[in-house]
Amino acid sequence: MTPLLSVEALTVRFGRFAVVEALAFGVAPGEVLAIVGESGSGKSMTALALMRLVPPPGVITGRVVFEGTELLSLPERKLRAIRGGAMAMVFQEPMTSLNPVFTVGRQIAEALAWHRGLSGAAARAEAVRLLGLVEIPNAAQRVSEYPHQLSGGMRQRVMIAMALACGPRLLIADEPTTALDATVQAQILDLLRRLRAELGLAVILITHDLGVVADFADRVAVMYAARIVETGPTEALFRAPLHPYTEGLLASLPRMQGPIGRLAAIPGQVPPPFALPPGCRFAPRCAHAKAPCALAVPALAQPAVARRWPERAAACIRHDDYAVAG
Amino acid sequence: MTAEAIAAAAPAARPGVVARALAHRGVLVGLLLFGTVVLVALFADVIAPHDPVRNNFRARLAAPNEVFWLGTDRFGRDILSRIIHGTRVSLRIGLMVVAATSAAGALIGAVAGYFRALDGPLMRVMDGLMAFPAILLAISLAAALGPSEVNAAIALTVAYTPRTARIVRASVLVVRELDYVEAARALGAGHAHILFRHVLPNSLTPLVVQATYIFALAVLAEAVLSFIGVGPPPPTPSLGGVIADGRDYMLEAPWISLFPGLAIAVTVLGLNLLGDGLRDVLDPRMKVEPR
Repeated sequence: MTPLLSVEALTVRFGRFAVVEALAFGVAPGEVLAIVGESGSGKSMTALALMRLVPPPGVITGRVVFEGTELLSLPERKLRAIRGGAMAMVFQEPMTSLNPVFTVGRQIAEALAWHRGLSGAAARAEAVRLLGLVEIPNAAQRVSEYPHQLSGGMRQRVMIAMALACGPRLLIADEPTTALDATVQAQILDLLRRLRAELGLAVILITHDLGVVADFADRVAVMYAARIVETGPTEALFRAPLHPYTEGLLASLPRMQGPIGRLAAIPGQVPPPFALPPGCRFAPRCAHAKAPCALAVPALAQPAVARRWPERAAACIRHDDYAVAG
Repeated sequence: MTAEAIAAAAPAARPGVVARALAHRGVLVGLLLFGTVVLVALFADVIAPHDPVRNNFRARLAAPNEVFWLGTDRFGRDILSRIIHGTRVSLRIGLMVVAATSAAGALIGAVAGYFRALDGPLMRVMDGLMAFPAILLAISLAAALGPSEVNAAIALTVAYTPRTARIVRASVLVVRELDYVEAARALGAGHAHILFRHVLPNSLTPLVVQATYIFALAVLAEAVLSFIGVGPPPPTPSLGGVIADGRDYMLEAPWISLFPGLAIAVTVLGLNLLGDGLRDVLDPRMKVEPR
């Protein structure tokens, strides 16, 4: 299948430091790709880079091809038609992502006016329909309320409604449930899952929550210190991780079965972009690191042990002589 | 969650800004004082007992009496009527200055805060203007432009715009980094739209408070301009002008200067109380204790 979005050698630099480095991935129409990583791994910056929203002085290089159009070299005017049009974004903080001085209906109507030329009563009716689509009760009444009158979960629904306003083919959701209560989180994920099925939406889900990933994503890309260290179909990746970092992440999840003990943790923390170790960036924290790990940054490659899973790849020089425990 | 439960989860609306403002004693007293001044100015023609510019040589320098409640000046003009009409001039100039400084300041501040490349050039010009004491700048400009009401307003606008520009810029710098601005950008909004619909409306609260101070400053400064003779030309009654009329008769006829001085004091006090109160109400972080 031709990919909806294909990313090659995507790099975001702030001065000398790369916060996103040599990223390559693709998203097929209707597919859910999860980008997983700790704070500071560069996953949110990746989301912003796809829309060319990286704040200055950040510099984006590489190629981002969306529906056959290269976005990084596109003039700002044409790019604006894609942002919020064919490609939309939902942010982490629903409490602050809505403008407090306008009603939610008016904010949705704005996007409708830019991309679909709707105005007045037509835009309002469409806003009500969209609020209903994201399961906001009393949509006809809520549409004329201000953001402060809505709860966090409701605001996130409004943000999703705004993102869906112009029928996007790709939705980038940057930690859409992180700021919400666990129960509301589940509702929002259900909503996203339903919308994806109904609208045939492709989703890039940025998260640090593997639980959310297992629930929702078709494919996972694990990021560590600005690079993708492992990528593969969700189920295979969860069952048999190929990279020691993925293994560590999975091991740190609380388990429902078995004895209750301390949660496993990966020692140390993500190195900042200005103090990256030589060679493999995970090596200083890796239980399996050997001397050669510090020599060169390992390339993302399909390991010999993973012949059965052609879509899988990991960036670890040891994945052929060492089988990571699942 | 059911529909009712979601509906019930919405936070209750807090009392509106107007209700909170009216519960504030400073706002109330300020409104009362300033409101009185505004009413006097609006109905000057009705309230003033005499023609403010008619000379009456039989009653020159009369002390306050039952005909001329606040006395007369050296031409026998009624001080009370001159103050009442002078209030009108002062408020008119104050209003023009507030409107012009707010508009110019909002525009300059917004552009400087939003388009960072223009920040340096614009704000250095503002800093340059601010390097002069405002009143000195206003006097020189008013003198250069010639004495008239509009020229006085222009001079004061130039003198006070840097303040509003700085305040708006500071708050634009904060608002432009907020999530909903990024969200608007992600939805495909252009710069003009983001600046004027999302950033500016959320950056204007400090300007509301500043506007009351500027109004007070402009009333004071207009009095100074009139006093030294570069304000509205005589015989237009302006508060500073009436004070100036009494300059040579301070010992024999102190009422000429005293009462317009009081009028200025009341206007400025009212505006400052209003401004302090509004700041308390509009900016919860600044609130010490509701007074």
